[in-house]
Amino acid sequence: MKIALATASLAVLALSSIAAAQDSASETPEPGAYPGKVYSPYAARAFPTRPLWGDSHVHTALSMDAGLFGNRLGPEEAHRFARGEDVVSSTGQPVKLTRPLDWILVSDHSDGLGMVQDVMAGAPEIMRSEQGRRWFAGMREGGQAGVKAALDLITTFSQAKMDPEMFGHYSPGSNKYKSIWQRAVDAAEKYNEPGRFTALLGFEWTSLVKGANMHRNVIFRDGPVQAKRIVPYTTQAPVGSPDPLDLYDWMASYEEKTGGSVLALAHNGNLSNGIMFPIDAQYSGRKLDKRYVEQRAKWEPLYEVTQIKGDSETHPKLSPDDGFADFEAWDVGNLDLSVAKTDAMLAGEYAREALKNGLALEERLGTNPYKFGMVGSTDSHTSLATAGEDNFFGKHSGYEPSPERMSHPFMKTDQGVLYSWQQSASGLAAVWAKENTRESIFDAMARKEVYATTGPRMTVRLFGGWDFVAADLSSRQPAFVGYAKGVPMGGDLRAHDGDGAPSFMVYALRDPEGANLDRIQIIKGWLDGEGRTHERVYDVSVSAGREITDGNCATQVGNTVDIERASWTNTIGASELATVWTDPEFDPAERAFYYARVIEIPTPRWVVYDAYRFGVEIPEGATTVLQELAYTSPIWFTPAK
Amino acid sequence: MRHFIREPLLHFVLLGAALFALDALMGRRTAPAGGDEIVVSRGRIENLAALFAKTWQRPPSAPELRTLVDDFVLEEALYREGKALGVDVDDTIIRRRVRQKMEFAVDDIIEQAAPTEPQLEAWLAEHADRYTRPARFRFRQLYVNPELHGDDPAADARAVLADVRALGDEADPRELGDPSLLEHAYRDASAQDVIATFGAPFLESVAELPIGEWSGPVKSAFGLHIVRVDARDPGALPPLDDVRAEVERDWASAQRDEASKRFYDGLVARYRVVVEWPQGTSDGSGDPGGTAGTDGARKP
Repeated sequence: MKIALATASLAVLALSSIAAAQDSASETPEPGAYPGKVYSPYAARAFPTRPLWGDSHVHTALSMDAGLFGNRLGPEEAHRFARGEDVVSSTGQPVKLTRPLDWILVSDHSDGLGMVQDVMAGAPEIMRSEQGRRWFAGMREGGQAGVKAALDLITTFSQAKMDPEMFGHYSPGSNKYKSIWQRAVDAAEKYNEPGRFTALLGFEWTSLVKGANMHRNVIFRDGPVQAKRIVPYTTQAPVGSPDPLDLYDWMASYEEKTGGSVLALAHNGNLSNGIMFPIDAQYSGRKLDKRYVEQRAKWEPLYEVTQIKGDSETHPKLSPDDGFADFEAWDVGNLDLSVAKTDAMLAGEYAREALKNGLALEERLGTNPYKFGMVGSTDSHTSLATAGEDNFFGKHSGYEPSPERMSHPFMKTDQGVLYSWQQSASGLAAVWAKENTRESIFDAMARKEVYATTGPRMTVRLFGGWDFVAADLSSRQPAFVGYAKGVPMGGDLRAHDGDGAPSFMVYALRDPEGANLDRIQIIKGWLDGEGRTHERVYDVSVSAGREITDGNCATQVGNTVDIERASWTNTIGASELATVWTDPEFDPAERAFYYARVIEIPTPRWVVYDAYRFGVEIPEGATTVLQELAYTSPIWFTPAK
Repeated sequence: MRHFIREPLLHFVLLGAALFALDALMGRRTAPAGGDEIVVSRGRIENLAALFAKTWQRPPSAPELRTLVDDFVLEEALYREGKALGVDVDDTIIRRRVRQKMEFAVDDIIEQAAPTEPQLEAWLAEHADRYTRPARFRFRQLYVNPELHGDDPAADARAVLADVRALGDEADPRELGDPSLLEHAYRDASAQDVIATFGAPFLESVAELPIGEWSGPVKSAFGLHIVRVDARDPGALPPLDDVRAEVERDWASAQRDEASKRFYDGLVARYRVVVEWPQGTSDGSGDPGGTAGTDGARKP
């Protein structure tokens, strides 16, 4: 009967009254399953209805390396681009996103923030130093000399050999540094529009230990008032430190000083040569202890699992039984390729292995240091958050679209080589936030209700509980039932009396502008009674016409990719997949985690679009077809004591 | 003041003043500037002491201050002699530094402009599409999955439409559609939400549908939908006060771009530019000399 009220006249009413109008006829609760505490289902619906899409990792010209590689776009352009506006890239090419993002974090490197502009201008602070003069000369010459200067600067920084006097001007303690940071904060604030677009504030803490990547992005919940009371933490002495424990202390002091909140997330464990997720001792040789595990768990609720420099979910050698483990791997060496990779390093580098080792560490030290949720982001150094295969502007401005960009070696040392075609057009962060505000997005990150994709925007829900049944999915409000009967991704299974295994309601809708879905998998990791960790990948929902036997669908979904025309069709796969899955091998005595991996049908990789648009050959050996992925944050189970 | 700021003529006056100040600062004559007298003013001494204190976190002692002053005198003498000898000519570092200082000076001039109320109103009207609040919708939908409907899903969708119309407003129509994880009812979806969930073409259709009746089928990324829009806020252009901050931001940014372009164009126009292109390096399009001058003068 309320529908009758909704006549054309309603259209002119203010929206507040639209939202307030009850629409009970359209959403009758399921008989016998109504879980609400009050009559109106909407009164309790304090959960998000769609994920907010963003990128928590974009560098602008303020970052040393980005500036050196030719990025001329500052924070303003980065925000405008993310909001969906047309922007002209540093190489003069017009570029736009197919759809705006809902939020962004411009995360420039704190060390040397704003320094490169001065290198290029030959500022006195730079020219007094031999290093500065050399880089200035390289930049002035341009071309390959410019690229060489850039690489030299990065190497010098990563080996901690910067001229301390010059670097002091671009470090905490100098007025110059403070004003550069405050200008960056102002730029973000200009584009922050609560409810419509969020510009998170933060920076990247760029810790490198002999070229091994320990980078963390730092994100504030707060606005300019708090952020301007500090300057970012750095890694270079005397103020900064490369030790994460010192970063945590700094974060604590930020919260104490400002009353604000802050979190950190690491990335590129795959380039850490084994030190990102230590198992016995930190990189410094210091044994893992209560302090380390507690601090890490407290300050690092998230991990960036996929980005342009490769995917860090797992590695084929760590997960030999996982048919999808070999995805966009960067496993040649550390960040600057000064030390080659060995198999022994892998266990300290990848997310899934860390999630497993976290269970063992919790058993040993009382806290799980690696209880993180997962996001994807680009780590673009072009100011452009381009994660789409068909709209990829490269890792840095030297690799913006051009007929030649596929053919260079991206990085080459005596330790190995990475080719430019190996850049991965990835990823995005989906946040189940109730509102598009700094506070709401941060809170969702802090509770790990987030997931990663390798670029596409598929909607993914995962709930864990003890009594999900198939009918919950057909309730037409599955999310409502999900929150009522269980916990969302990132949560801990509620305490449970009695027998029975946990059940998971998982569903995914494909990107409305993207490819169909091949399958949903649940990935379980657990710790057995002997203290050994295990993992298993279960296929739980696959597109029509295929069988799942014992958790495994052996039939491939097929492939419609036409390399010649850089196209594919949605004639295979499914536009949505859903299931309720119960762990068939549950042992209530074992710690465990469960996360979902959603897999698209095959689509062309960015090199195929390059070849098509520029009319050039794809380099030999380059991967041309991929199946894009989404990784949810896990749900953990801890046995009752 | 703000009215004058837009006058190119004033720019040249200010530029002249800036150049004059720079002359005084840098000494641009061929004879040593300031003749044979070096004056270390009280202000200069205070400045030297302050720089020392910033580095050492304490004021300089008397002997230290004397050393600083002596060093300044030596620097000044060397500077004047160097200028007289012309060692600054064609030095890239000095050129860039001078250019950077000029650009900062120009930025300061341009930053001073503040908009009037009518200017902001006019900007808002001219760029209405940029500020119009996104449309919002309250609607319900029934999904018709093409994978379940053989050759002519549109015909089946029209049958669903007929059924739901026949059903009347009181009944729950959801069983008429195919199962889907898309929600049936969207109470308050912004245009952004609709695009994110159904794709852009769906939004375009929904924006046109009649209010308060079932209609369709409407195509989305997932298939066909029978849709009933119960309320639609087309998203009017808000009054200036509601978007003042955004309008001021965008106005100022446009003014800055325009003013600096005018300024640099005007600056280069004061010169007769002769570019001696090597044979075959210019494609002859546009005005290579002028372009090099203006674009080259812009800050990155």
